[in-house]
Amino acid sequence: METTGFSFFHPALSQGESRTKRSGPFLKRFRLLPLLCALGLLLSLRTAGAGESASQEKTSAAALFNEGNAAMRLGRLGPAVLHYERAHWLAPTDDAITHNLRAAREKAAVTVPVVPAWKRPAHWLSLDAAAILGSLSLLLVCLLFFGAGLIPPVLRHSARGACGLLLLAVAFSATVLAVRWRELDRAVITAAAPAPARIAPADNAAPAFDLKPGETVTAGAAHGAFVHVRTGDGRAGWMASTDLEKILPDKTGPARRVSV
Amino acid sequence: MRLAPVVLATSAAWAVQAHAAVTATLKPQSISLGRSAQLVVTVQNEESGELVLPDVPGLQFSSAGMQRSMSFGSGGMNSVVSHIYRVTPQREGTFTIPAISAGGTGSSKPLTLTVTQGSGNARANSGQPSPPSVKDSGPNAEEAKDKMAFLRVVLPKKELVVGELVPVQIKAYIREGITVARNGLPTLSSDAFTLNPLSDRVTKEREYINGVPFIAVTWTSSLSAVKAGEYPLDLTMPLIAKVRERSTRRNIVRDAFGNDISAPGAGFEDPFFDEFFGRSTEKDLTMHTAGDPVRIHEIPVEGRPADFSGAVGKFDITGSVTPAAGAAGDPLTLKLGITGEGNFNRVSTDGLGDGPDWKTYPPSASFAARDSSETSGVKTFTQSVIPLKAGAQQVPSVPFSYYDPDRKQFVTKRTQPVAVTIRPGAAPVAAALSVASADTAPAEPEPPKPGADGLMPDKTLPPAASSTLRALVRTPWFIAANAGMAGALVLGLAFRRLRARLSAKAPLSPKVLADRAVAESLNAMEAAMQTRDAPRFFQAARRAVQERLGAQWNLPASRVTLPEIRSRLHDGGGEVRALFETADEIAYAGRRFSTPDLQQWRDLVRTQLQQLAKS
Repeated sequence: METTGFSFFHPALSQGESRTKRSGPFLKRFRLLPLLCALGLLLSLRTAGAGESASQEKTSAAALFNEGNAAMRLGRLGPAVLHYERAHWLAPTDDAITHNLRAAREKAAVTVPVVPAWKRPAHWLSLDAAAILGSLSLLLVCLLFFGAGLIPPVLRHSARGACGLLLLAVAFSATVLAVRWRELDRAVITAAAPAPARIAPADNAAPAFDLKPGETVTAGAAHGAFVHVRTGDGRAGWMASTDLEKILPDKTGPARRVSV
Repeated sequence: MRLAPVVLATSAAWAVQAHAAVTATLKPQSISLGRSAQLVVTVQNEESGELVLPDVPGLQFSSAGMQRSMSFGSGGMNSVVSHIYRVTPQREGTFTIPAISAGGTGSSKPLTLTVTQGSGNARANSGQPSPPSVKDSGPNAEEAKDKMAFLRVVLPKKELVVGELVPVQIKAYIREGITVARNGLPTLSSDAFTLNPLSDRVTKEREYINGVPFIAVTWTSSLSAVKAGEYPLDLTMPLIAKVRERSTRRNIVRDAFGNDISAPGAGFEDPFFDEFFGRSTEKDLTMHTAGDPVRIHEIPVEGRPADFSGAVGKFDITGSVTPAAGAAGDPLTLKLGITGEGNFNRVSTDGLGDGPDWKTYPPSASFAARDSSETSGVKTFTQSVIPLKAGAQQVPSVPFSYYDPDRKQFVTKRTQPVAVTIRPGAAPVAAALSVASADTAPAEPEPPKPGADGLMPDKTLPPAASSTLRALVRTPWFIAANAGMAGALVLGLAFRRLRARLSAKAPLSPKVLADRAVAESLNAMEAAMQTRDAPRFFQAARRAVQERLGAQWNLPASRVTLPEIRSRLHDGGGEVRALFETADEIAYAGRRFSTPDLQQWRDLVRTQLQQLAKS
């Protein structure tokens, strides 16, 4: 009996005619049981996720874009960059959003650190797209693994190749997420004027450097009313949490409104 | 400058010669209770006369300002003083305002005001003749007396719709003697509005507020509502104020008689003379308004037409086709003109669609504004349409939908169908189409271009927002689902590996081993038959039988020989013995077999193996 590398059972077990006759039909009947359970779990979690997301504030890239324009016209560069960044997150291929984001940064005189060459492939996809690619690839690998017995023998060789490609896609997605994970904690300085980053989370701590409105930093741990921030060029300090706003809000529920 | 008193004296003489008159106008002449009318009493060429307002029971007069103008003509100097009063009725009925006299030089005609029952809660009208109601963000008339400057934002209404574009006036009221210029862009405190760039045209006029003269500097622009809710329309305007100071040089300006003409009462108090005698200082000035809230309504989703592009206002659409006659396959030009007032940046139409009679291309658009705020004008869409059939045709009507904020409903208007005469084309229509597409280069929808401020214009909002600012990789259900799949995969691999290890360690029974050996021998037998290799065929066949019998007799297969078979089976097992003998014969004598013979032997071996397995 020919077996595939994805068979749930070892070839030695299926070679014995009598053993196959005894246990084969029963096991074949329940071969897809784990996969069905996983799919059921997936659907129930998705339903729970939909319920959770329904409780969050809905928005759209167009609305955020228009709010960015309003902030720009009011001369509030920090909120303008924040709104454009959020719109860019929702619609990364929108040229108008990219244009206005660049215009806002130029007006705010802030620069974006250049992405090193080795990291550029990780920017071929957005983080959400990478997550979806990896997740779908993983799902297909599971389908091939647990449903190998249902694949016609003539397709088993192709299935092995497809499985290899899917595993590569999973690995690529995981790499993209690992490289760009810190982007999820990006924040924009929304203060009206340059705000100080201090050497310690205290009001009377000495300022280490100033950050301009519209500058993008990576927010870290919070301590009281202060947040540890790190700039693209490696400087780090503590800022008042009221002076910055995360591009992707942490908590479930509406994002904190930024007054413009 | 010493001749100045002479000039003024001459002008005064001309003024005396001019005809003095008093006129009064009342607008409107019929109002509802709770509202006010505006009474304007104009006194010509009477400088000294005081205006005496009559006492009308049931009517209350309050001063709303005064305007003064002077002009020089062939008849001499003409001065006009307009006194503006707000007339507020205390009850309903018909009131007669008697003739108003000023200084005994003349009197106006009596006026009649009709007051009807009002709604009761209507606010008193300001009595201003201009149709837009003033959003009075500045101080009132009493407060204005103490102010050197204040700012007002004039909006046509206080309730807007998301996306609606309305004209707005920003009026800076400053005392005479002060001039102002913009020192930057005005900023709004709320992100619920966007203010378009101010027009370059600035108007200046003198206005009296409670008798205090102010210079009103007016900038015009347009304001767009961005999001629903109630927001204050607070505005900050940076200005440079230039204040003229009285010059000390005036003390030495004397007339021919040695009098100080700059002293009070000498006729040179007018700020006009400060232009010559004063010097000015500049100062940065930031003016604010504390505006009343403006309510912004959402455009309803229900009943929204399919072709609604976000246009809000009042529009009309017309269509024309040129030329009115043509050949099938030749392009015609369909022009759609949308006129009216509203947000023309959202006015859009797909034009005429493709059909069995028409091949169309996307239209291109151009806009011609009628005012500086660009809220009214005409937007023209030019579309190439190609008739596919000859004969008397009609260009179908084209719909255009917009939201009317006053009627609070969607309105769909259509062009009239346009009759055209199409003659048969010289070339097949398909060929003509290809030529047309090459020649006319149908205009693709133009991508939006950055505006004057360098920003791409606002986008049309989708009917419903559906996105959340949440990374997929941080949603719990996504993490759990992927963890579940990865876990299931790892568990499956581990389970498979465990079963393989266990099965490798488990001792197999002799019967299972024999079955496996028999199966291998049968496969070898089949392979030998395909190659007509008789020695290998019989060797495999004998091996299969040896394995089977060895398992039954608890003997190693190698010990199952012909003598052993004879001793154990006695007279039985003739076929088995024949098999062994033939195998020996072939091995030592090289006998040849045809394929049918080998197939016959194969069937015999299989039958024997089945019988042995049953026994």
